[in-house]
Amino acid sequence: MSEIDEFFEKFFRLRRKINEIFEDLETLIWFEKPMHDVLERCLEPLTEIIETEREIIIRMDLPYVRNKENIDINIVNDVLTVTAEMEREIDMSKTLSLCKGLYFNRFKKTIRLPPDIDPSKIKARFRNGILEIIIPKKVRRYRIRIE
Amino acid sequence: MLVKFFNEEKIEEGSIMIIGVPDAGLVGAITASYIIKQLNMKEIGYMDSEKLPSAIVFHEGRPAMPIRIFKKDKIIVIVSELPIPKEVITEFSDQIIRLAHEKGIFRIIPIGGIADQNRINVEKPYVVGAGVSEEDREFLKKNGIEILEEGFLAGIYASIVKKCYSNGLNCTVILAQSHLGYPDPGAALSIIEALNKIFNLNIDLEPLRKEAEELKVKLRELMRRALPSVRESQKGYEYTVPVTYM
Repeated sequence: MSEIDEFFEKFFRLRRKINEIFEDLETLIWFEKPMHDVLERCLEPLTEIIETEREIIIRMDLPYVRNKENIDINIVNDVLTVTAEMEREIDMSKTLSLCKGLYFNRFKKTIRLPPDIDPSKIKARFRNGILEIIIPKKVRRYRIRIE
Repeated sequence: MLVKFFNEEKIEEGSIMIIGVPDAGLVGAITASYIIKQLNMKEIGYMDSEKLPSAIVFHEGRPAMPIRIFKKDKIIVIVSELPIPKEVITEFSDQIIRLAHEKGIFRIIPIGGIADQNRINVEKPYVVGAGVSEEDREFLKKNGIEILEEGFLAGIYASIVKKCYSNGLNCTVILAQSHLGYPDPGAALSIIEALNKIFNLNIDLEPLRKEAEELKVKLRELMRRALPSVRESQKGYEYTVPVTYM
């Protein structure tokens, strides 16, 4: 790898890390963005992300989503997007006074994934209204022989 | 912490006091609110503290304090619509104990969720109870509620239990297996079913069953805001095996 390539690789890695830090901060502060998007007419599902040594487990609560055919999971580059159609439109005007007359009928969530995952081995299941996506990490394992 | 009653409302001696605050799966708050609605309970007062977030709730156009006290016959329900920050836990539980003493409360019953990763695979969550006195444990057993034999209880209910223990008050915590970070009306149903059986409340479960999904959608923001205080209240202890067990 040339010095220029190496420089850019380090630069992009650093930029990705900074983005991740800001995304983490967004989830910690109180004045975070609301869990609905008026323009796209979609709601953000509650999401849990559990990271273990071998995999990343993402769980989403998707009320009013009836079956797996109503859920779409995509990964483009390192961004995972889940969209799910709800069985009926939800009127949020009683709970969100600024959303008067607005109805929402789908969930959407995007999550930036770390680079060391294996997209070909991702598994998902949908049970009792909860979507679970299991993303294995690329495990680089070497056995060292003692001389 | 301020406790204010409207019009010198009399609480009958020997009443029970049910407490529901937003915790794992918001189970405590969902259950308490549903009991209040279904029993058509009367709002008799509120609790407030300068350390609580500066927020006020509006219901049907009217302002309501986030922590409110309701009554019907010999049942008192205290419900909080805001997560109780950890700085307020001690003064909240102190006031509960003071109220229980002053008003001659027979038994304090904190209700809520006990987070379990396996909840995703379960249709009907189980219910467990923790009793402070021997009498409380007998009461739970008699009513067919499995007793929490070993393990930690953490957070606001632990604070209430500790104070009941040291003040010799009856207290039974009733918890249902629940999601940690998703509103869990299914767990609330399990608790109401248990309370129906214990106190013959005859609360109709059907409306909550029908509303369950709508609640899950509409309580997402509150759940997200409640999670940091659930974590701060050291709920993680509830997954820990106590050392005397080993």
